[in-house]
Amino acid sequence: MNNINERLTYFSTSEFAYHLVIFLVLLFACICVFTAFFILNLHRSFHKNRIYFQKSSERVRNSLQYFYEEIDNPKTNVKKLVQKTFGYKFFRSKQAQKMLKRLIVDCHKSTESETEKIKLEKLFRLLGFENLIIKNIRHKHWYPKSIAIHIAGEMRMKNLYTQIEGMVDLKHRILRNEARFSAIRLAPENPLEFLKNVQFKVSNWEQLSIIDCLQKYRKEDIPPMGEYLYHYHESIVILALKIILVFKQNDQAEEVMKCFDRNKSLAIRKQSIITMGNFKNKNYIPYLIEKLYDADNIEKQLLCLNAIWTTGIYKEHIDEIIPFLYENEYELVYYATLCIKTCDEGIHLLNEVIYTQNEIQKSAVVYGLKYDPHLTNL
Amino acid sequence: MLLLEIDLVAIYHQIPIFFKWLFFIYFLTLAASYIVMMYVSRLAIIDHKRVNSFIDYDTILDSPVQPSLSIIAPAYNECKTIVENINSLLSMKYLNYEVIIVNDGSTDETMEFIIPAFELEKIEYNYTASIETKTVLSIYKSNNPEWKHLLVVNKVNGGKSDALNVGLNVAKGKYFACIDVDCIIDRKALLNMAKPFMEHNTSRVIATGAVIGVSNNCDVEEGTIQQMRMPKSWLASIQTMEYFRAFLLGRMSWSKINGSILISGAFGFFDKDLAIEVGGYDHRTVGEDMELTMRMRRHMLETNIKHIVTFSPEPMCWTEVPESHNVLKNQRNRWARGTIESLWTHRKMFFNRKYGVLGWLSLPYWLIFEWLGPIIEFTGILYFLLCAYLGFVNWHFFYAVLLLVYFFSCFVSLISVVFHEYSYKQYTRNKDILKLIFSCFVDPIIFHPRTMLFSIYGNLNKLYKRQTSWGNMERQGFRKKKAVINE
Repeated sequence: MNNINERLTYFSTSEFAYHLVIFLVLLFACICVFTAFFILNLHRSFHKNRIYFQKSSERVRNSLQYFYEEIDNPKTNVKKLVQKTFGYKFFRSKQAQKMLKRLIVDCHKSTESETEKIKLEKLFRLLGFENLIIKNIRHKHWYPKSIAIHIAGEMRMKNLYTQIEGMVDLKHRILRNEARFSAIRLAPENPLEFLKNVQFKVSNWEQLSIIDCLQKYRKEDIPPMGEYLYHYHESIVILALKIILVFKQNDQAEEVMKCFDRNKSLAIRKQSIITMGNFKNKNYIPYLIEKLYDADNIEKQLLCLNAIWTTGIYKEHIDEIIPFLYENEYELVYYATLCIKTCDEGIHLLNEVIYTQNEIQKSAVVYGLKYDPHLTNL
Repeated sequence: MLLLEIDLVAIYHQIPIFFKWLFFIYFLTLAASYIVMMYVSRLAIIDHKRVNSFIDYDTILDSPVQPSLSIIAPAYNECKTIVENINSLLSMKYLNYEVIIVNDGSTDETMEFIIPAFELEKIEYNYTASIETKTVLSIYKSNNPEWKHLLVVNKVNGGKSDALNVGLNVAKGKYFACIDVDCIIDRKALLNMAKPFMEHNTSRVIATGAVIGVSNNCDVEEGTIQQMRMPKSWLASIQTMEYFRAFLLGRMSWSKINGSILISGAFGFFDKDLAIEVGGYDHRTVGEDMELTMRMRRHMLETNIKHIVTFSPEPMCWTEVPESHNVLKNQRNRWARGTIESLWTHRKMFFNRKYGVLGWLSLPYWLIFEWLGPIIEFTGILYFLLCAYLGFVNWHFFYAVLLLVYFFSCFVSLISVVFHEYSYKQYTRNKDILKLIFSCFVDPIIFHPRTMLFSIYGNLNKLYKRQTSWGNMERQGFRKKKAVINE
């Protein structure tokens, strides 16, 4: 028994082990107390910063207001004005500078007025932030670099376009994304010029964000996307089709049709048909019906029917859709019903057709008459 | 005979020594893994914050090219809060989504509450029953365009997994979220959660999760949290801190190394086609969320498809945590059984080269520290009592080690609170932060021993094959909570 006792208490009787444990206890106790105070301090400083930001932003806004008013005066010396408005002690601290930069960018983002935007860009330059951005764009670390790219885009620093355009195919995903979004904002003419030579796939998220960036442009400034439908990269073709859809470039319909015929990729064909449907031009119905009859599987047929439904049909096309009301696939019957009900004569016809259908077909028609699909994908 | 006796004595002598080393090595490994996790999750949180610092979700929310999402919320005896919960789910800021409520044979008046509230009518809804489930009695849809996103399925009781599988069969979205119907979800959460699926080019994102917050005692109005408050009871407060530790420390670090094997059932998004391909939720387990994530990952690894499971430190969903001892006991019991069942089902993955990080790191970690952890701890206590009885304990040394373990566990919890402050802080009141800090210090004394015992109980339940069930969660209901706040 003594032997076990000895071996069991080997550590506990060792002076060194005991002292080591006591040391670790004291160390972790101190770390815990320190961490607890650190959390409290962190919390307090966040709170303080928030209050500081609220108060200072009010100050900055007042200064900006003064700047807006004074800069319009032709006699004003701009440099002196900036010195007078933003040169006093408060704005010299690093924190205030950072906040000022952020607020100018935020104001630029939120304002709709072009003149205000120009004034803010001028101020941004005069305060020396432009040099900081130029410096950071060459930064080794991706984060300051991406912030600089982002701000350059927001503040329309057109002189940096060539530099930023060179980054649209970087390996780093975030840098690449930011460079692409900024390239749109900075491009001298065609905002989507950079897309012509990109190598990396444009992800769905990027597509969404690019479309969002383009929302700020007038429709006339967005290039006709037809030429991008010949791009070697599938993701660019899909993006182009989405842009045609969102910005309703109806004059590109011919190109979309050609794109459908030319490409064998299901994703491109799917997007082409969705885009065709969104033109809501009934003149394209014969084309869509042709594709509907050419389709070799249910998925493609559904896409065509979906496009026809989105467009709406004339009375004379009803006969071509009717055969689909007798398909055994529920979804086909449902979408055929949706198509037919877009025309006034169709509803009457559908109510009669029900008596000649089997149970599945009947239930699809009844459901289709009452409900549209609640999701926009197929 | 003499030789055998000598051997037996030798073995008898070796057992206590073995246990001593086992506990010592266990503690060292656990401490080391926590320190590594702290480092990795810190990197993951910083990365996440930086990457998302430029994104203006508000403008993208109305995009017409969003992917379609289905939210599946199984409901069982939820009549107290169901209408308000559905209203909350229907107020999401996203265009292309549907909400599928699956009433899993509730014995209360859940359906009687929903039907008039949303002007539902029975429809003949077409869907493919890709996964075998219990009978679907009826499907309802509202005629009112205001609730066009809503679909209600009434089915025979079959458990949570079965209800989720019905939802999966009915869902038409490209991705689906499984959520607990009582959860409060951030209105912008859907786009946030859809983002990882859309942004990765090189790997397929198969699932994504986010931090889940605690909604007890929060000010809830029209399905959104107006004011975050720490729960009033200590049991719930400690669980709040425990959630931070589990999500910000554990899940974040696992996701950074692509080793996640669990996307919480309370709020997680999955690739629908893949989930159906692997057979949906397993109704034989109570840890259906963990099991599905593991099965999906296993399938991808076996078919050699590059994939990832992502996790966001941003809190996007809030849920009620148990405030009573019995409900907590049932919950932990279920979690323990779920872990055992999932790990056992996928035991083939352990230390298998084919399964990479999962086989060599995630699963062994879950086995040793999540499943066996409470058992080892409990054995340690028994071993200590035996040693104390036999007089083998050096009490000075014992107290020192006890204090070391105590302070180390406080340290780990405190670090998770630091991460909370650094990431997307939920609590802004000083009082709440103090309560969080205090919870870190009381957790090892009053909460951890309980959860350890509940886990042991779960293990015993599994061993004796006791029935698995949803377990009853006592819902307080948001109105009641509001009334408490107003007082």
